[in-house]
Amino acid sequence: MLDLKKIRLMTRASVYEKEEGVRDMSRNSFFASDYVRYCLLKNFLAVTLSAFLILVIYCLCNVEYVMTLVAEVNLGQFFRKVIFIYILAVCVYTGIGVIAYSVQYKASRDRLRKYYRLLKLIEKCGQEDR
Amino acid sequence: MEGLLTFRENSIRFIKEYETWFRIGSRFVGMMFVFTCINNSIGHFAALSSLIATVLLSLICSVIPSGFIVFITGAVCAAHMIKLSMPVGLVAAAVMLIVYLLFLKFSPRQSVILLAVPVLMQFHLHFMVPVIAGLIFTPYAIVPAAAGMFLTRFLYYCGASASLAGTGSSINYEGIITALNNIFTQTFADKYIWVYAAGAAAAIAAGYLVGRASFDHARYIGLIAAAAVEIAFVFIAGAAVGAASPSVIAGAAAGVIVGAILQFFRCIVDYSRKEYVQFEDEDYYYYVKAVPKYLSRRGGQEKKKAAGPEQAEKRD
Repeated sequence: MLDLKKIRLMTRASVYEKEEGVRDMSRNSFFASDYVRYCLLKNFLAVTLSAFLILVIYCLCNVEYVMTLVAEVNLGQFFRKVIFIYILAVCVYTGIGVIAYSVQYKASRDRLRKYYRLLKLIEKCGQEDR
Repeated sequence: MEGLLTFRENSIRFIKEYETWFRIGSRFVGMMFVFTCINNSIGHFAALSSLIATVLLSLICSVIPSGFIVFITGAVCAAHMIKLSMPVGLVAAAVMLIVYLLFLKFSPRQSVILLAVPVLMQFHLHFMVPVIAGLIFTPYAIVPAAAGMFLTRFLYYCGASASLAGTGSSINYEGIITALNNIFTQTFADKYIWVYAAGAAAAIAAGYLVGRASFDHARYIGLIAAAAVEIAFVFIAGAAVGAASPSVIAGAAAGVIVGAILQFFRCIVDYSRKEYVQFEDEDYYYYVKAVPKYLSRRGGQEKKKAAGPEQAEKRD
């Protein structure tokens, strides 16, 4: 005889496993701090690459100004400004990343907790059947 | 109402039965729209603009994960721009990469908004995107909406100034700096981008906050609130900076209609039978508002049949 409650529970568990579960379980393989650090590392690389591209585009658009600085051997102040803006950007994106990735990790844990509760209910249904 | 509910249940049942094919088909149709829009506005690469290439790319995008669709679309735009003018195309590719790395990587699943803006802009309906996004997505949806408008206008200015830097295989080295300065000056001075971004931010925030309130019909009221706030913001901000856009009314109205249809198919509840209950467990005391979903009479009877003779025996 088909147990409709068990079928419903197993369907929900299966849908979760197929869609969000893959992502949540891969996140759950890290500790929270390790996951945030890993994502912040990727964030740092992305910000560094973006900063480099923005610097190249800026130098292309203001090539005369940059050539003047090179001719006057006055690149130090320019690079100090660039490094200051780069460090500021890294700090801002790190702050945003810490909040965003912590929220992501917590949301994954909450969903996984509900999933494990579903699995317990399925096991309970199985025991009742026996 | 009964007819509508029956139609809704039959449609959902039909779609769920062939869900995989519907998903692939809808993605294919959507990406055909996106690539056709790109080919119409910046289609300088003849091989990529052909129907075969468009169909092939749309087929590929219909089966790959959604995060990669944005990359493929960006690569196609970059290829068109590079074919038009190599230096301008490379800068356009770099700018698209910067926008992705800095803004879009936090929520790649909302990238569909980025693609929807330029497509709907062709029909002057791009203002419907924030109204619907407030209902379906999180407030972070403002970022892909603003990025979509920014990139659309940026690529337009790239196309307009590309001739200064030399087109095709010829490069005018002296004109490259002028072209780049023109492109960035015009893009950052374009007040329409800021007006759209401000209107989208207000609409998404209003739609999200009102739609998640606990009063009756909150989702539908949220759609109307998002549309009203967007129209007000765009008119006030547009009048202030001289970039008014009358198409906001049509876009917002279309957003309300489409959003209402989407919400009807997502979830429909019967507020007349709502109940307030209170209970507690070991950890919390719960104050719960339970609103039952609408079921057509036929669907309710089929569910009773599915419960089977066991339930009838228990009742007896």
